[in-house]
Amino acid sequence: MVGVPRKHRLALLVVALPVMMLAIYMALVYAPSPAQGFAAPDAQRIFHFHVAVAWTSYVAFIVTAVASVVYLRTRSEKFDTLALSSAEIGLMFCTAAIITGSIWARAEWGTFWRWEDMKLFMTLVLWLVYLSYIGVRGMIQARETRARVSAVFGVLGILCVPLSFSANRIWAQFHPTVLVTSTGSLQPGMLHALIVAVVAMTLFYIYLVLERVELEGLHLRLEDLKEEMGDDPDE
Amino acid sequence: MTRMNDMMYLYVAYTVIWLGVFIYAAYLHGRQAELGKELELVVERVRRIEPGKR
Repeated sequence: MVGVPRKHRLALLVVALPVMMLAIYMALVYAPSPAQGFAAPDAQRIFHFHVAVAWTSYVAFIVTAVASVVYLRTRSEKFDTLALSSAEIGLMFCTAAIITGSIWARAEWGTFWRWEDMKLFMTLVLWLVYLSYIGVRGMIQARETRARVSAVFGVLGILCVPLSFSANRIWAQFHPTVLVTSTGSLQPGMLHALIVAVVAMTLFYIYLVLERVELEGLHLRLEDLKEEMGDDPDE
Repeated sequence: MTRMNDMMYLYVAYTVIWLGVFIYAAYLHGRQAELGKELELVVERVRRIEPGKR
């Protein structure tokens, strides 16, 4: 696996950090609090990054599915590495979305979780599917079998993404669709802050994927060399 | 809900996100450094075993 040179990865981080600081400023200062209808108006500012991490996790799982399809067609190991890296980082962002959502729910609803809400339930299912993806990979030693089984898992797992994304639109329960004004759109200040947060999180996602791909490349190279020497690659 | 409590939830949520991202990034860099060193040792071992081939 040929990764992106270190200086390019660092350059991406140098771009991502100020965008992230701007996103934090916009979410905490620039964006208005919702004027009415919320028990905890300051906690609503969690929304910008909660949506951004949830959105980035969907993007990450889509990248995993696409890389898995390409792997199944080409059997090129670099796509398996990309699928794994994206799934792992997507899982991390999905975890952050669930935790920040629960913190918001505690502030707004007085409880961390509502089992009857399909959005929460489907997002938990999504999280469990990709946790299993990582778990299954760890259980299979043979490299090609591991890549093939993971690719099938990565393709099937994507079915959960539209279900999680649209659950609040289909079932319309407790989870807010967006924080809207009476005209039905997001308040401009909140929209700007949300867009910058999504851009910032996407930049961080790309940076982390490149670093994870580099790490997996080192791991595979080490495995190859150990195998060549007749050592146990898991030592 | 008092404003203080409201702000505390906001603080905790942001802390979770940023700690998560930076701890994961630090883990990646740490593992890269570790594997890089291990790789150098193994490459050196391979060179010593098969000096004529490499």
